[in-house]
Amino acid sequence: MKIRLADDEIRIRLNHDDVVRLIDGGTVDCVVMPGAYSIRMTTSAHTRSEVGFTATGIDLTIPPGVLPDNPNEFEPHTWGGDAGHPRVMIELDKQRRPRTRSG
Amino acid sequence: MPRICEKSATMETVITHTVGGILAGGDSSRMGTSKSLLVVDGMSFLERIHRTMTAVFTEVIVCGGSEIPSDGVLIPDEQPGHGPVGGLLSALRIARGRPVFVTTVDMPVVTSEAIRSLAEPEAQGSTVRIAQVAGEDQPLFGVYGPDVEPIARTIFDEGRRSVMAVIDEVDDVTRITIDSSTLFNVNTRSDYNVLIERYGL
Repeated sequence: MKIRLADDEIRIRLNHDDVVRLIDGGTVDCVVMPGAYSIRMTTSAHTRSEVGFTATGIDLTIPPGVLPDNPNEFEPHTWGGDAGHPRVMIELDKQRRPRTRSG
Repeated sequence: MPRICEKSATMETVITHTVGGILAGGDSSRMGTSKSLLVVDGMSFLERIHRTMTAVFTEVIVCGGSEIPSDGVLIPDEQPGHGPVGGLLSALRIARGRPVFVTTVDMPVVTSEAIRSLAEPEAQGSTVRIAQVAGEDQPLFGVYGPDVEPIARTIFDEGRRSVMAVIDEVDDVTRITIDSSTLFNVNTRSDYNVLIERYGL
């Protein structure tokens, strides 16, 4: 998982294994700042996705219906920020190969 | 060809009192391509430094740029393109009253031993502890106490972009000599070629 934290936007890039865990009904946790701030993603039987902000982090609930059979086909998911909270975006990390000297 | 080796960190305590910050917001104009993605010894600069830093600190953030290492957290610069003082400010803001240790993405062979020599013990108040190589200050490899934040903010708001301007405003500055090979700095393609000749792609 990779996380980009800005004042108005939190972008979470899941890797393949994270998506597999969600598809299997598991929970994906990311401790951004130990003891201070964390992000937890779960799936639920509810049809609506939900995002909850707390003083110490974000809880995201993703309904199984938006999860693909193939983890590599995970579509970006966005919750619009409101009440002063940042917008939250989840996407699949496209693993790029590092560049070499030839750039 | 030597490999870039790190001593095992399993016997050493991970530092919790200080946040590690990797400054990656430069535009790499002299290199002509993002230095974060350059590869040495089979790993990108950013991934390598992040791995070294996470062996030392419980909390590591990347300040600026757009690349994020695996299991990493990126804090975009408040104002991109305004130099390392902005990255230092981001790190101090996220650290919320704790000191920060900063290094840059263009020093890919830094060692945890060198980091520890500066980051331990905890920097209080406006204490600054920076590396010195061959008598030259290296302010982008050092630890900054929490009270440096308002000083850096003033410098930044005045439009000054050199971290040395921050150092000049601080009374408690300690300089610790670090081996020059550890802080090998890659700014140009010829620097990169030297690194590759030494460690391989």
